[in-house]
Amino acid sequence: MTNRRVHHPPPPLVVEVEAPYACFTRPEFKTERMSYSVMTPSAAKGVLEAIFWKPEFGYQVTRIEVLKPIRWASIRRNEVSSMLTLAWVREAMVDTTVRLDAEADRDQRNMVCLRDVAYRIHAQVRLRPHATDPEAKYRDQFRRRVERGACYSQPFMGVREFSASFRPKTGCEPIDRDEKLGVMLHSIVYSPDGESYRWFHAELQQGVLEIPREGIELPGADTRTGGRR
Amino acid sequence: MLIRQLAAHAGDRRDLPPPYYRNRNVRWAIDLDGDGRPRGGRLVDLSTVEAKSGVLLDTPYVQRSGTGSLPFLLTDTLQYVLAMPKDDSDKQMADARRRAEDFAELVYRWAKDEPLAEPVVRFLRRGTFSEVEIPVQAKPSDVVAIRTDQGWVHALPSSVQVWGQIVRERKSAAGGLGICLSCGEGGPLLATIPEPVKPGGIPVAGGRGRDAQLVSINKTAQGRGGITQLANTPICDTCGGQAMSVLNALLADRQHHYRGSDSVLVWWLRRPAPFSLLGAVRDAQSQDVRGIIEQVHLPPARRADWLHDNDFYAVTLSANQSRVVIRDWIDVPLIELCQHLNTWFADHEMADLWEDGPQRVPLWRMAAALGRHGKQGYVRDTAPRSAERDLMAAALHGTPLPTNLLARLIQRVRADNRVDLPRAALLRLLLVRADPAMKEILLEHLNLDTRDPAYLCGRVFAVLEDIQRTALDNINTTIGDKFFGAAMARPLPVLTMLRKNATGHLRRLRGSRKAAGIALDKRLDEIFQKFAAELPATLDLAGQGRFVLGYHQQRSADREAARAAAAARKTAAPESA
Repeated sequence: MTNRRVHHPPPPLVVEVEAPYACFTRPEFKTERMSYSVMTPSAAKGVLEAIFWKPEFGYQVTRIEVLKPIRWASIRRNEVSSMLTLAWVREAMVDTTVRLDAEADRDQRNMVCLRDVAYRIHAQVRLRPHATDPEAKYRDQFRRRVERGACYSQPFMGVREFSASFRPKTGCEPIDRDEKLGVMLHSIVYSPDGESYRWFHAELQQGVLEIPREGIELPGADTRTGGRR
Repeated sequence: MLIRQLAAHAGDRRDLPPPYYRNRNVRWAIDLDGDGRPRGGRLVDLSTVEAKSGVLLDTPYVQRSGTGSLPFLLTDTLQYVLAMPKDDSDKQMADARRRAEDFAELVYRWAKDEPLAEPVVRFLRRGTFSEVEIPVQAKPSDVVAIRTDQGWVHALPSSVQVWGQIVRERKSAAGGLGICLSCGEGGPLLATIPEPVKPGGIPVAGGRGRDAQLVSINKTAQGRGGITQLANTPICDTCGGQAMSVLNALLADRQHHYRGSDSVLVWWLRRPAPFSLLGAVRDAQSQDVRGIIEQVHLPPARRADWLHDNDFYAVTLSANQSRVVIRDWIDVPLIELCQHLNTWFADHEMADLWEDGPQRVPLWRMAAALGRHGKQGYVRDTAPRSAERDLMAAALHGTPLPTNLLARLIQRVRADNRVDLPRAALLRLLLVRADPAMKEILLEHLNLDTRDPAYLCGRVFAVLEDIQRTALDNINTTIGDKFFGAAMARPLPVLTMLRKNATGHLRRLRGSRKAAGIALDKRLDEIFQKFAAELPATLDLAGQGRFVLGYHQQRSADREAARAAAAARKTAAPESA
């Protein structure tokens, strides 16, 4: 017996996002940041969750269409080299004289990012086991929020400082471009042991990035797919 | 993608050193006899008058970070090999001894299965290395290699194999097996990239660079979740080692890199091609350019084999302290690159004052033309630092140039009062790439049909200057010297005034050089008749650019016509004689 929903999935949720800047950092060039030339599915998932999020379901991004020509920009900024730790916060709570001297912790970093980007994200809703309501409810809620322009937090393009605006689907055509993007982050799996990563071979065809349902992972406990546990 | 393509190129290069070896200057040698005694009891100086730093050899090398003792196998600094301290303090002497012991341990490990290692082991076990005479000019950081009757011991196959194992042990992630981000295959993963980019490989503004890492995650804010090293950036040892080896080889190969003031462009092909692609852009050598243009115009079936299924890769690198910054990455089919280069030449070809026909201009001359023009040509380092990089990127990508370059060029033309071939070519390139409709107006030679007011104003100015030059024999300052800048921005008042003044010059020509006077007057009238409306009162930046091109191309056409007339007279003279 065949499952009709497998062969005839409901039409995807579609939202278009646009931003003046974007940086979808390549994992190998994350210090002197260099962006992928196309939005990654994990960034697209972040955009969707900024618009509408419920613990009862997750998004599976199925396709990303590039709507504007790929343009690059370079930015060099002053940042700091250490990150906030729980131990530091505890120390600061006890000793009120503790301060972070950003000038003493300075790290100048370059970013090769994208300019004037616009994408059309296609995604499916995947209900979690504890969900009781039908999928259609969440799909409709998402569509209503997109039409209203409502979001829980401002969506962003890869890094939080690059805010994005979103809108319902328009008639824009994807750009005419083919490109092999290499191994791209598919998703991050969070487990009690830590996080691990899934990858896929990304390829832009006629301005469209098709995303497989599952990323690559290695079986077995002695191996890892990226993150050190 | 970059790391993957670099590693894939390793198979095509014959000049790569063995894995985790680097081509370095070796200043000193220890010559051991069969019994492991240094010949002459002293170090052999390998430096010559030509090579003061010693001879270049492929020697074991990986990046050493921190202050720990991490010796290289068989070839290292005097501090490691002969325990030469940095100073006379007890601390440094003890440190040097410790390093020498670690160095010897590494050699013993290699010597277990290598019969040719016997002299080296005897030399180290005997402990007489401290009696080797060290010349006064030697420094603890000088590299010293060991030579026996069989040659350099670090070049033996067993040395390469053992050193590879040692590096993998040092640099591999603990128990790390996983999918490599670069090649997508499973394998042992690295904790850090073993080899950095060599110092001097990447130009650094205002100084000499140092070792720079292509993939560097050594601060908590740089890695995901505060984890440093390559924990969340899985790269296998094959990709990491080969990619850096190839990158260093390309940076050392003059045919494969192009150095700017603060960046370097490195390029390579998936399969070799018979001529220099980048040389065509950089130097505009006619044989290279012709080869590319011919291939682009051929039907696909008749194109050369090296164009089929071939790809072009280029990366532009800068350095931020000890980290490499990737500024640009190009990965295009070779035919697409050839098409971009063809467009590059088609967009900037320009008539010249001194040569007949359209000329192609080397990229470096166009970049230099953005600088100040002094008495002996363009003054070095006065062009914007990013100019060469921007021009090269536009050539390879086939994209428009940054608009700030147009403002800069117009400002320099006005300030220097100078338009020449590189400036005119760059101006045409800037205008045509910014607005493709300009291709109809701005041709490589004088456009006699266009009615663009800015272009016509430039032509008028060139004719007015010609009238003045022809009328006055001994002229100190031409109207070009005095009014060119003003006429570029405000053609209506300036050209009206100059047209009135030209009446006097034309009257003078009627007396002295009547035919020339009539010809010039007629040319001026022809241009004025093309104006559909009144002359523009002011011109914007692009308009000023078209004015300059009209001026340059009118002058070039006049000079070419004069040269042709002189040549015709020259050929006619002997016939009539």
